[in-house]
Amino acid sequence: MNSPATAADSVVVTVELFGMARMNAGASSISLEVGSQSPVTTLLDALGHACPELVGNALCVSDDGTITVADGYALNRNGLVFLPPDVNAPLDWVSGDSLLILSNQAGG
Amino acid sequence: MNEVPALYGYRGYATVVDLTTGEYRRDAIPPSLLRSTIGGIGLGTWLLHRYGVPPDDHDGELCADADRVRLLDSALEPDNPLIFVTSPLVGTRLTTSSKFAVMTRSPLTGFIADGLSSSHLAIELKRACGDALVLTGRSDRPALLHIDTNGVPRARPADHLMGLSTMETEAAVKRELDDGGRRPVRVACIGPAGENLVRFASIANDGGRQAGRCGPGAVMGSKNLKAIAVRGEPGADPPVASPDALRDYARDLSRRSLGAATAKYRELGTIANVSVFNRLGTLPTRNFRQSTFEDAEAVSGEALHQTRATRSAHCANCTIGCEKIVTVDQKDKGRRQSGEISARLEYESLFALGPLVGVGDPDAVIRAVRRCDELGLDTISAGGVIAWAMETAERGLLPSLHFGKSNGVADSAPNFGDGSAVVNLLDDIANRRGSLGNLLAEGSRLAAAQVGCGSQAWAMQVKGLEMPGYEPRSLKTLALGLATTPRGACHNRTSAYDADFSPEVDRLSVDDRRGQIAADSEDFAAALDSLIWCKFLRRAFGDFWEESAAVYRMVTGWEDFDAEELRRAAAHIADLKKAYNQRWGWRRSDDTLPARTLTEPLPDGVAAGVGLTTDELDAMIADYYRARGWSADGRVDLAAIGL
Repeated sequence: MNSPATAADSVVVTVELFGMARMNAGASSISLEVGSQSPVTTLLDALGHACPELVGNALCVSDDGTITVADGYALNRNGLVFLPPDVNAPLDWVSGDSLLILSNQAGG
Repeated sequence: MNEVPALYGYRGYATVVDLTTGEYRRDAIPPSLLRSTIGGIGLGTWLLHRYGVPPDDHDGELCADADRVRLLDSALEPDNPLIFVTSPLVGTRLTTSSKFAVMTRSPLTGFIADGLSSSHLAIELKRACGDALVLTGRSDRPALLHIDTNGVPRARPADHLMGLSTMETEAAVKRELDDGGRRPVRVACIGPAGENLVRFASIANDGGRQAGRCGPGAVMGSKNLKAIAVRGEPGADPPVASPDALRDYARDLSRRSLGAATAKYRELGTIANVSVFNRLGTLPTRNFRQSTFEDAEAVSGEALHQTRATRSAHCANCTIGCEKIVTVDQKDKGRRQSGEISARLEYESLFALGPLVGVGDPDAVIRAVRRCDELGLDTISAGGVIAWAMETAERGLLPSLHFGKSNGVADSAPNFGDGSAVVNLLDDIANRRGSLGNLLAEGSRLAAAQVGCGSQAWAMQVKGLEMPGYEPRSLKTLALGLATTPRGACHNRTSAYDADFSPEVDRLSVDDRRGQIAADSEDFAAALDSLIWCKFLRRAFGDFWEESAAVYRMVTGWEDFDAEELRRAAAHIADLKKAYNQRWGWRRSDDTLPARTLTEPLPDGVAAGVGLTTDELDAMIADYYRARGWSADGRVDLAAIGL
């Protein structure tokens, strides 16, 4: 698993995939070990390395090489809070937390 | 020198047909009125005021409950107009622009019914009938209204079409009016549900597209009108003012329509909502008693794409192709077979005939959706009223008289999760067959009023219209939109849920910003629905207001029309819609939510324990009225808006 976390402060966060992200990954969720004070960009970077099928779909690579969520997608934490797509501040993660990647379109 | 047309983008008149006498006329629509109401639902609402409100309207009067039932029934009287309205964009090459509005007063709510549908019929209507087709009166026998290239409406006998499904009717009409294969007529029709005045009957067109909500099919049935067939003159499209600029813009918009902003709709369609909504605790299940469904994954968009043959379909003149036609056949995924059963699956249909009634078998859902389309039933209301019946039966409160067995009518109470019972009930409802079918054909509000025993508390409707598949307790901004939208419980005339599904607000709590957000989202929807753009295109625009105003200038040539005027028009349209309801007896107490949502916290999912109180809702409603500039009790000043 590709992660910058050290054993002491690492936690396991589940990335839950919906819609085409799930179809492209061939899985509904992927567990990542990351630092407990990681910004979302760190999780997305780890996700891109763990599941390269998502790069070019739900994930995209910025000019500076960082992996971000692609246009048309939204991020949600634990099914409760929607996160700004460009959030770079470190967040407190605990094991069992989830990061949801879903379409930013809720129309039905 | 070419003659300068009187109008660009519009025809400047409505064709008005009196079905009682068979006479027709063309009523001019002044350019200033077209400009202030745009088209589609905006123009349609004004036409409803013009053709559909009696001189002694009800504004300012308290409307007693007994009068309410009378007003509902009066929507099925000959003087309630049924109006098809096109838009200035119809006939252009702009993606998603081949849409029309269907306007009437609803026999389900007693208030405004403003449906939209997308099909080739929009183009033919504008060519043959002008900016609108207004139908009044009642034919003395079943009729097919044929409007050919000369624009002259002719009523033909339709006795031979009665009892046919919507698909059978359309096929039969096309055969009957075939012109040697040169150009097909475009057909709008009702199924058995409309013939039998089911209060949530839809109008089908163009191979199964539906103007579904609020029962326009019942109004059409009340006029003894089985079908409308239209074939316009190809050269009758009104010119646009700046064809070259519009062509360039159309090309650019089509390119953008294939980008990330519409990816969800193009790839999986709206059925992708199921798994997301389930995870977010906003998937109404078993008559809104739960917000998650244990079989959600089985009926999710992702699973259906993996296990069922699925293909995309496009509305007329649309590049997105959000419709997913799903077949029940599992064994030969990808290969079509004769006799297969398939349905156009949208999230709302899937939710209403799946989780809402506890059905987790995808094939049972597909069959039920298909049957609704054939019978001409609104899928959301059908699922809603059946879910009410299931809960009422579960509580032992559905009187046994409703289970008398005759002609194959259900002889036992319907249970949550019984997909076969759902399909059988749909036929009973559409044909008003048996006591239970006849009861449920009235919609959940009137059915609950008949049964009593407190069952109104779990009749999940607003203003009589059954709730869509968005749980209001865990989507607080939308809760306000559902409570206040003139149409009733509708997620399409407000896009307030956009805020809830974003970092903009905390969807689980209320604050004093929601009134303005809901009003703004309603204005946005009014502009979309009047121009008419597809809602799924909304994020493909840069600045929607600036861009839409520019398009409007290219089409109409009114060079001083700007984004601010479009915003004013949208707000005016919202006022007109509310004013129409006022004139038909709207009361402050009509702007509310079902009792369940205001008394029971959610029991499950990530939002377990979250509720919505009456005080919280009332505070948001007060903020909304302020944002709209209405009185504290929610009334719009009719004189101030020119009525």
